[in-house]
Amino acid sequence: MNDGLHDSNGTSLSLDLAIDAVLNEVMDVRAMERAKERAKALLETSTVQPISQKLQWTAVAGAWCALAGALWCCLYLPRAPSGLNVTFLTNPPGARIVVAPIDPATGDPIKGKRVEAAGVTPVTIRLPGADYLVVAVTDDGDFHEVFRRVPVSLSTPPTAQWPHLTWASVDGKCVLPVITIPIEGRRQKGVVSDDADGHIDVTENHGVPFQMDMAKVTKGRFAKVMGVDISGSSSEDDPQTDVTFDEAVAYAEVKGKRLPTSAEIDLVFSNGGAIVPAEDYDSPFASSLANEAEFTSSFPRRPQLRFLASGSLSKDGSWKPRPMRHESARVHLSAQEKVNGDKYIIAVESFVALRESKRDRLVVPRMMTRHYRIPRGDRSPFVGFRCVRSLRPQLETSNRQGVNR
Amino acid sequence: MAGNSSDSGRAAGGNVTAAPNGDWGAFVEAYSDRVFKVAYRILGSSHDAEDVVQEVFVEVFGSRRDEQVLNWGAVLVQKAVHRAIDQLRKRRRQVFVPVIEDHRITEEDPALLVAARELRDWLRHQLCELPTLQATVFAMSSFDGLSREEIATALRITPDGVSSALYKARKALQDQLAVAQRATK
Repeated sequence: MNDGLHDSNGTSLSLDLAIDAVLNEVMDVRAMERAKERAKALLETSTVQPISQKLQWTAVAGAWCALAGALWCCLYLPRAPSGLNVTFLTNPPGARIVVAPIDPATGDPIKGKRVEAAGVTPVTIRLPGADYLVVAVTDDGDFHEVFRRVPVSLSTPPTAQWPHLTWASVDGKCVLPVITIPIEGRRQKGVVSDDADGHIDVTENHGVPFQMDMAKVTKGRFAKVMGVDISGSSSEDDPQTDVTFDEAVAYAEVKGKRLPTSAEIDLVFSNGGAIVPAEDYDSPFASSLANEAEFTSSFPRRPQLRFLASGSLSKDGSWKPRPMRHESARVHLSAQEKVNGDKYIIAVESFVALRESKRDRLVVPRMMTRHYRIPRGDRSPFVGFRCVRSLRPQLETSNRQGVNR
Repeated sequence: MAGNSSDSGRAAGGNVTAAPNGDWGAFVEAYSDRVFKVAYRILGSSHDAEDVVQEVFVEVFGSRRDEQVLNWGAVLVQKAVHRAIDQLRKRRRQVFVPVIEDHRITEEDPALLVAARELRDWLRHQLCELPTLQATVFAMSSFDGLSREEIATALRITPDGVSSALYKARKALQDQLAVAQRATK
């Protein structure tokens, strides 16, 4: 076994090998160049000159004065009504719309600021510029949860053509892309969903019950929906990697689903929930997760945790190893978790750690998760995604029409 | 152990005697790769290393220019090491573990890659546990290959103080390594 501290012959490794492991780590040359350019640009464009201590105090005092002035202006100067008239369209029309702005710091919808449209689609609401979670609900109870961006000004061009990032200016109104609401009956017949791998229902221990796909989106399914050519690819059944966050969001919307939140991933993949108990690992779902196992973390603080290849645990307790699919995605994008606005997206890596019990020599698999930070817009051969669908809307609509909260 | 003495900025920065007045572009060009590398080796994250590079140069830019600096390379590395270790310690207190960037396609044996990654994780973790002076001296020596005298000048301590701190740091790390090895046997 190669556990990092012993080589294959069992010889002890020295501190110098650990240092070598750090020194020999391959760095991202592009990041190095980017750092250089950023530093140069910052220094070249900086108006801040080296100043004496006295001047620094003057600058601080000036900044406080400016802040106080700005605060006074905010409180006492009359303000023009902010925001744009935003038109929502759905297919089929006649749906109720409720929206909540996304908190740029956490990525979660701010439910306290939810706004429900007065009437049914097509309908117009006045909204300030922001990213929104939009819930469209038909009278039959079918619904869809999508993301939409409302610009600060209509003169601002969209940054991308994905439905959640684009808009059109029509007669002074901001018209957002049509929300296609999946019909539950069609979903059940497999017309909308072709995800034959099934899903897991989570109805307990969570605010809004949801269904999470058992498997990550495959290359074949992604190509079919997004119109990507995958000829020459290794296998249509491999997880779709090298995908950006926004492409994943767009795919999920087309499928009538959304990306999972980090909390949902944690609930399903960790042993903290009722789904995958650490000591009871013989459910089909858990075995499916085990097949995606790769390696442990927290070495060597928890020396019982060891590196392992993929495998599954059968009901009789035997471990069935299988070749590690190193190309497979282990990281799941989380739709609603963003850090620093658009700069970073939080992704979650799930993996199985083996814990060896000294008492009865049992090897107990344990699902763990680890949070990653990746720049928005980046692709990676190690990042894939799966979809979820809420079993009831995250934002509740009023039964009465014409209510504005 | 690789000393990596050919890092960019080392030759250019050896004997600068005055603060960099004027040509900041050339100054950044000469040293940024070296600052990035040492920050990356401590943090294991390109994005965090980028931030460290930016912060270090902004700090130098805003500092007093009448200060005589004998070895800009060592000073910048020392500032980068301090900031990187601070970030590493803050990261440990956060709920989210930041990214471990291993997104490269490679033909190498995955088991060896994992072993190397665990060693790196272990060393970075242990670096946080060391007293600041020991961690700084260890990182400047091991991750940038600075000499005892260069480190002493940058930290304004005696060369014997550097030797002592480096010895204690290595001893503590070796002891921890021995404990970990016993635990995994």
